[in-house]
Amino acid sequence: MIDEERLQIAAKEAAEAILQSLPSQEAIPYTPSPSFTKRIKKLIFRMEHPILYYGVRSAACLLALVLSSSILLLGISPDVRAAVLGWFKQLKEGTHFEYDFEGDNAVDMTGVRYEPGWVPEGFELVVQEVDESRGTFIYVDSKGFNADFSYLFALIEGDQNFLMDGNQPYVEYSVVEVRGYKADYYMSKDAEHTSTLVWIDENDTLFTVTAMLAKEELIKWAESIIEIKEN
Amino acid sequence: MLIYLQMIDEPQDRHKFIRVYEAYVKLMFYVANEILHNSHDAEDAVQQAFISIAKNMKNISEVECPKTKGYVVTIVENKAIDLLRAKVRHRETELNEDIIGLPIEYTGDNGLAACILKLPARYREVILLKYEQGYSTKEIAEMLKLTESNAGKLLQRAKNKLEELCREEGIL
Repeated sequence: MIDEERLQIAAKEAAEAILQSLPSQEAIPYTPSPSFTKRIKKLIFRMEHPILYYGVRSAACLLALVLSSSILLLGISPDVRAAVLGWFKQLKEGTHFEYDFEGDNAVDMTGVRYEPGWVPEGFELVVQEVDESRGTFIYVDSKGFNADFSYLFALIEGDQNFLMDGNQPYVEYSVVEVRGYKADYYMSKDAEHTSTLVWIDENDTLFTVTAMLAKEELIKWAESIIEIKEN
Repeated sequence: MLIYLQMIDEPQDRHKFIRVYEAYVKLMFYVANEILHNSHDAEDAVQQAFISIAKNMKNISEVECPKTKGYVVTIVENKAIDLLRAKVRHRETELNEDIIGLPIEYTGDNGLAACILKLPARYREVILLKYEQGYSTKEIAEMLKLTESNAGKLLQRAKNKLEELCREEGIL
């Protein structure tokens, strides 16, 4: 029987030997691959979005009929899905909704981007990532709570989709109007989760705003979104 | 895969996670690649390690310190060996319980430490998590994705193997 104290001392010595046998981080000629970087970015992004995050398309779709709210959002079977053009959403793993775009009618949005024209009081922009397919704006308040605005252009090819952790006991679902469009409103019923609005405009761009805000303030933020066309 | 991301509720934990990533990603890749000898597999193992780290951020108090460095190395080695074992199983080859893991040269005079370093990686990891890092069996079970009962059994097997090695070396 090995004495526990002796084991602790030896374990520390062994751990030091392991660390000493390793090169320093700076000496390791490793550049993360683009795919790995993408996966880690998604991981970090998701950590910053307790409810809301993007996800990759799952090959094995667990398809279920879901809330059918706006004109463009449909809960559909795979057969019907193939015949549908536009955004649709489906329940995945019983907990979250996935919004996907299907079809060949994507509008060319080259040179277009969106920004909030107003930001809820007390929030400061900490992350702004905009590319040709999407935009993400993350804000943090003095208590460390996140608020974010994002948009996704419809793409004919690629994995453009959006995951919404909306089928949870703490979420109450309803349909509201934002900028003249029907919007899915996922209202958090507790103080630990954010609420989210999701809507789609006439160009098939999917918009979301998420924050721990009252419904009126969340809608006010959504209504403030402005389109910017670059030359 | 989706739920673990929601386990980091505190903003400071999220920031800490990013710092851990920046401080150790290269080292973790090095460790995984030493075991798997394939950069694609090594990145998969590193990703799995970061998922485990994300789920257990409470275990990290200070980012840049030997304890955290030892912790991330142990976790990524464990994930790399998991991946290696999965590949071995996939090839229907006999499951090898004695995967050595990282090659370590020890020149010190602590015989018990030398025996710990000679243990198969799976056993060495659990011994280090318990006796060097000071984690409970329950915490180790969470990190290694085992039931608490299986983590306890693994720890006992590790100690038995260590005693056997010590007897062979004339330490006990």
